[in-house]
Amino acid sequence: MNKHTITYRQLFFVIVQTQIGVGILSLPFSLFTIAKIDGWMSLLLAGIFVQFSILAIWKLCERFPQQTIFDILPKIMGGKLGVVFNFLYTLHFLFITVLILILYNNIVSKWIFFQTPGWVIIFTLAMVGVYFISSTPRELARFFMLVTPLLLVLFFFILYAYTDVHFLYILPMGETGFLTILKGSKDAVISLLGFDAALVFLAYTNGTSTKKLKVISFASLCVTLFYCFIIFTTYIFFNPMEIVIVPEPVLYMLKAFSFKIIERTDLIFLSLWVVSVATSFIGYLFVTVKGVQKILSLKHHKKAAPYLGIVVGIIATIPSSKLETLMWSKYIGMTSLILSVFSPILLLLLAAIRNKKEKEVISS
Amino acid sequence: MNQKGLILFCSLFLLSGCWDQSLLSETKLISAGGIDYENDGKVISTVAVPQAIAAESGEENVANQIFSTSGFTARQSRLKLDREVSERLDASKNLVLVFGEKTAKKDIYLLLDVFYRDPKSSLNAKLAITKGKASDVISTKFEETTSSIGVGEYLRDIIRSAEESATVPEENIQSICPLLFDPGQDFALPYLVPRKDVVDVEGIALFSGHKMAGTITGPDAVIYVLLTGEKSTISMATTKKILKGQKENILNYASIKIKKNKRDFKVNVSSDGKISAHIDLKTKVVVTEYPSDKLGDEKVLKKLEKNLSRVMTKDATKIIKQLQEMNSDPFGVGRKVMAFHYPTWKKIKWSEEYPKINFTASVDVEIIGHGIIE
Amino acid sequence: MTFFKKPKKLIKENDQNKVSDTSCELESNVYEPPQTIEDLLKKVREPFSSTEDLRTHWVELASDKRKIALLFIDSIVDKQIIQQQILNPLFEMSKEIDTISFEKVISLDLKKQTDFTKSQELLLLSNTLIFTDDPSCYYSVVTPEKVDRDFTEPENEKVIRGSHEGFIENISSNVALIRKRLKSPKLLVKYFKLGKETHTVVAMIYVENLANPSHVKEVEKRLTSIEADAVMTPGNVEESIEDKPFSPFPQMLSTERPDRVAANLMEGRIALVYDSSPTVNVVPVDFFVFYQSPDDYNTRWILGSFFRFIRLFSFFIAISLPSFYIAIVSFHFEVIPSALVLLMKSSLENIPYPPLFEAMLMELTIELIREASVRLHTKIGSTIAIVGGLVIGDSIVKAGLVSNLMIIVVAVTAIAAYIVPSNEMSGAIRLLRFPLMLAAATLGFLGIVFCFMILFFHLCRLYSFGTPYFAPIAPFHFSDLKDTFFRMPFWKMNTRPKNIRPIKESQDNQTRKWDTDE
Repeated sequence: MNKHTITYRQLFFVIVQTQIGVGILSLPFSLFTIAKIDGWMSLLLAGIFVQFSILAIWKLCERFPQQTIFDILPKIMGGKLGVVFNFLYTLHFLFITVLILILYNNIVSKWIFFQTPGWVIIFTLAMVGVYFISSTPRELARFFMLVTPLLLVLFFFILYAYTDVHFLYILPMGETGFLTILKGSKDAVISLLGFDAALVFLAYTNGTSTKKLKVISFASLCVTLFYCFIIFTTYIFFNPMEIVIVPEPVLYMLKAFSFKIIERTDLIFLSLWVVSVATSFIGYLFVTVKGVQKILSLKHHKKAAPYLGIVVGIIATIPSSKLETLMWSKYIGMTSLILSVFSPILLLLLAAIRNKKEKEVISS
Repeated sequence: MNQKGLILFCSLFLLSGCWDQSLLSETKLISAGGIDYENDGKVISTVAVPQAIAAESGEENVANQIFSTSGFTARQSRLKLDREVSERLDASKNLVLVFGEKTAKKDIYLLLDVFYRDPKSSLNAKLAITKGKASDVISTKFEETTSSIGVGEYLRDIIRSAEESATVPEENIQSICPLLFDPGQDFALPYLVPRKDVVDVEGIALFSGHKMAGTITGPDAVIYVLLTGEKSTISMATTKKILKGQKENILNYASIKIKKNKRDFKVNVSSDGKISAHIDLKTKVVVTEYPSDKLGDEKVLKKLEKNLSRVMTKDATKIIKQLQEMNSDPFGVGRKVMAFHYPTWKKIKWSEEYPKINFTASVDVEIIGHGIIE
Repeated sequence: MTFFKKPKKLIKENDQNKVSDTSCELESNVYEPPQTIEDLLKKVREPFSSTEDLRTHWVELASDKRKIALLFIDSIVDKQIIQQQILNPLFEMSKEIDTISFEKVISLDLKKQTDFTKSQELLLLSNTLIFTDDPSCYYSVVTPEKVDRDFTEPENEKVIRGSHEGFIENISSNVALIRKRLKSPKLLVKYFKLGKETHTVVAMIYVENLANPSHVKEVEKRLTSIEADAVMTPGNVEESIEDKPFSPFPQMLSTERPDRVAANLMEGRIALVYDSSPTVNVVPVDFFVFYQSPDDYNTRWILGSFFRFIRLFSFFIAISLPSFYIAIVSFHFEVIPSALVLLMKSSLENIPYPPLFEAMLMELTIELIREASVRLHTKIGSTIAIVGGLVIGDSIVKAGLVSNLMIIVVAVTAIAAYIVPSNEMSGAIRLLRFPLMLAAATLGFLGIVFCFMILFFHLCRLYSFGTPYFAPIAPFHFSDLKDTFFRMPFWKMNTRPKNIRPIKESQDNQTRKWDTDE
C-alpha cells in the first residue's frame, strides 16, 4: 500500500475535486426553493455540519491507520456484520456515482446535446472513469491537482456576473427564519458530499494526523466558500421571483454574457464543468471499486473496474423522465445523509465503546 | 483489461453518430426578429436572415431574406417559418428583437417566454420597441442595410450608439428578465421610429410591469439615463436651453458632455407609513458648446453651473412626474422599500402606492472643463 | 566446433555480469591451444568462413626469419596505421625480438591477448591481430579506419546562438564531444555491447555525484536485459527499454547536440551514446525537457521565457485547433461572435463535405507534403513545398473542396506542430490530433474535453525510468517551474530539477557572488 501513497497536500485536491461536482449548477435553485434568498446561509450552516462529520471520519481513520473504511468496518462490526456493512457502503457509493451520472446526463442533454441518446453521454463518462480508476490513488491525486486551476477559470467566469448585479435582491436578510434555513441546510449538505471520499483516501495519505485533519477540513471549507460565492452571485443576479423558474441559474447567467472573442460563455463553462463532474465521479468510482475489491477479495481493483463502469452506466440509463430523476436524487440523497454524514459519527462512537484501535504499522 | 477498456471506449466513439450536429453551412442564421400581434390575436413573427453572397475578390454583399408567418404563439409561428425556409433556421445568433408598439402594450412576457426557455436562444440580443409594426422595421430596405450589413447588425448598431450617447439604457433580453419578475422595479427599452430610409432611436419606451406604459423622447431621455445612475458612457451629452431672450436663439443654449455622474438615491418611510424618495445627482460636465464664451470668468462659470442645475432639475422632476403617471418604476423605488422597509412593503400594494409617493430629484452640475477655448 | 559455440555463451555471460569491454579476464582455458601459427590462424579464420576482406599478412623478420602473421579485416582498418605502427617498427627491428621488446616497439594500443575466443570480436572491432610463434598468446592493435564526417550542426536541431557542433557516427568522438564540455573526473562512461550478432556498442554516461544511483541501476538493468540478435539503431534500444511502449509520447530525449546532452547530464540525467549513430538518448526525461532548446539559454531570459510560452502554447494549438474548429462549425457556432459567424458561414457555404472530412483531407495532405519533402534533396524539397503549399492550397479552395478557413486552421496547426524542438514530440502531437478530431466530430466540446482528460491523465501516469513524466506539473514542484514554463535567469537556477532526484539538489555557490558580496 505504501507504494501508492499521496501527500497530505494532494489529499486537499482529492477532497476538493470530489466535492465540487454536479451540485454546483443546481444548488442555488434547490436551496432557494427551501430557504429563499437566505439559501446561502443554509449552505454556510451545512459547511459547519460537514466539519463535524469530517472530524469523525478523521478520528475514525486515525484509529485504524492506513486502512480504508472497508477494512475498518469488519473490525468494528465483527466479521459477518462487517461484510454486510461493507456491501452496504459499496452499494451506497455505487449509487452516488450513478446519481452523478444521472444528473450530469440530465444537464448535458438539456443544455447542449438535445438529440444524442443518453446512454452515449453516460457511457462516455463511465468509460473515461474506468480508464482513470485502473490506476493508483497517487496518479489520481496528481490529475486532480492538475485540473484544479480550471476551478479558477470557472470562478472568473462567475465573477463577470458582477457587472450586472442588484445587491438589493439579497435583502431583507434572515427574513425566512432560522428553521427554514436549517431545513435548507439538509440539501446543502448533500451537495457538499465528497468529503466522505476521505474514508478511503485517508488510508493512502502520508503526513501527521493533525495535518491530515487540517487539510480535509480546509478543503471542505474552500468548497463551502466557493459554493457560497456562487449561490450569493446568482441570488443577486437573478430576481428572487425569477430564480424559481431557473433550475440551473449559473449556466443561465453565463448564457447572456458575451465577450468580444467568445459568446455563449455557458457552453465553455459547461465544458469545463464536465471536468469537475468527472473528477467527482472518478473519486467516488475509485472508492466504490475499492469496496468491490474488498468484497470479492481481488488482488487488484483494476480487474473490477470495467465491469463496475458498465454496471454503473447501465443503472444510470434507467431513469428516463425528470420526475424519476428527482426521485432518485431524493432517495440517494437521503441514504448519503445517513451513511456518509451521520454514520461516521456513529461508527466512531461504536469503535470508542468497543475500544477498537490499532497501532500504526511501522512504515518503511 | 486496460486495453479492452480502451478498445471499448474507442468503439463507442466510432459507433456513435453525430446526433446533435448542426452544421454551420446548413443553417440559416436569424439576425433580427420582430413580433407583432395581428388583429385576431395571432402572433406574427418576422425574421431577417442575412445571406452573404461571396464574391471572388473577397468583398461580400449581404442580401437580407425576410420571412414572415403567423401562429397562435411565438413558437408556433417560428416552427412554421422553419418549414418555409430551405435550411434549418437558427436564432442563436439573433442580434435584435423588436416588438411593435401595440404588441408591447400587451403582456410582453408571454412572447418572451420562448426566448428564455430555449437553451440555444441568444439572450444578449437587444430588445427594442418600435412605433407601428415590428415587421415594417425588419422588412424595410434601409439605406445603410443594403450596402454591407444585414438588418440585424444595422439595428443593433443604432441601438448601441444610442446607448453610448446615453439616450437609452443598456438592456438585453436577459438583463430585463429579473426586472420583469421584480414587483419593485420596472425597465425601459429603446423606442424606434422608422423613417423613410433610416430608423431613428427616438427615445425610450417605459414599462409598467409586463406592459408598455409610455415613452420619453428626445433630450429628456438623457436625463432619464442619468437618473438611473449610469456613471458615464462614451458620449453622454445633452444640449440645454438655459437662457431666454438672447439676440440669436442659438445663444440661449449650452451643450455639455457628462464626464462623471454620481447618484444618491434615498427612500424613506416615515413613521406614519408615508413613502418618499429622492434622487440627488452630482454630475461633472465639460462644456462642449457655449457661443457666449467668457468661461474664464468665475462668475460666468458659476452662473452657467447654476443655470444648468436649475434646468436639469426641472427636467428630472418632469420625468419623474411622467413616470409616476405611467406607474412605471424603473429606478427601483419599490425594490428599496422591499429591501429596507420590508414590513411596510408587505402592507401596501405597490402599484397603487407608487403614483402617490413623494418623489423628487435634484441635479447639481459642476463644470470641470470647457474645451480648449475659454 | 566447440570453439565457436563458446564465445556466444561467454558474451552472454558478460552481459549478465554487467561487465563490458574488459572481458579479457574471463576464464577461457577450456580448449587446447593449437600448436602452430598456421593452425592458429585457421581456427581464428574459421567463423568468418570465406569472407574475402579478412586478410592475412605475413611478415618475415629479417633478423631471425621468424614469421609473424597480421590478421585484419581489410574493409574496416586503416592500412596506414598498420604500416606506421606495426610494420615499420617491425622492419626497423634488427635485433631478435622477444615478447618484451615486441610490446615495447609496437604501437601504444598494443594489447596482449590470451583469450582466443575474443579474437573474432576484436577483428570485428577494427583490430589488427598479430600472431607470433608463441601459440599461447597474440596481440591486438586498434587500427580503425577513420571515415568520420565533421562535427557539423545537426540539420534538425539548429540554433541561432550557441555551439554548432553535432554528434557524428562514431562513438568515441561522441563521447569526446561530451567530455570536452564536462571536464569532470566524475563523468563516468560505461560501455555495453548489445545484439548477439551486431555487437553494437552503447555508452552510458552520467555524472557520478549527480545522477541518482537507482536510475543508473535501472538503466543498466534494462540495457543488459536486451536479448536481440540485432540492435541496429537507437530506436531499437529505445523501444526495448522505455517504460510504456504503447504510449504515443517519447520517453527519452533524442538529440544530436552535445551541448544539450551535457546540460542534461549536469541536471543528473543519464546519456546513452550509440556507435554508428549521431543520436544520443537522454533519460530519465519529463515532458518539458522536449520543449527546452539550447537557444533558450543563450538568449536573454525574458525572451527565452517568451519562447517557452510560445512553444507550450503551440502544444495546445497543434493538438486541438482542428478539433476546435470542427466542434465549432458543426456543433457550437453560438460561441463565435456574430460578426465572425457570417464570415465563416459564407466561407463554408458551398463546401460539400462535412468539416471532419475536410479537416482530415487537409491534415493528410500536409502530412503527405511533409513526408515527401523529408526524403528529398533540399532543392527538390522546396519545390514540393511550393507545389504542395501554394498550388494545392490555393486550388483546393477554388475547387470548393475545402473552405479557406480550414486552410488557415490547418496551416496554423502545421506550423505549431513543428515548433517543438524535438522531432519525436512533434510527431506525437501530430498523431494525437486525429483522435481528437474524431471526438470533436461526434461530441463537440464534450468530446474534446474528454479526450484532453484522457490525454492528461495518460501523461500523469506515464513514467520515464521511474520518474513521473509530467512533472513538475503533476506532481507539482513549484521550484522546478523555473525551467519549464519560464526560463528564469541563469543565476536563479541554483537547484536541479527535483523530479529526477539528483544526489546533489543544489549547487553550493551563488552564481552572482560579486553582486551579493557588496
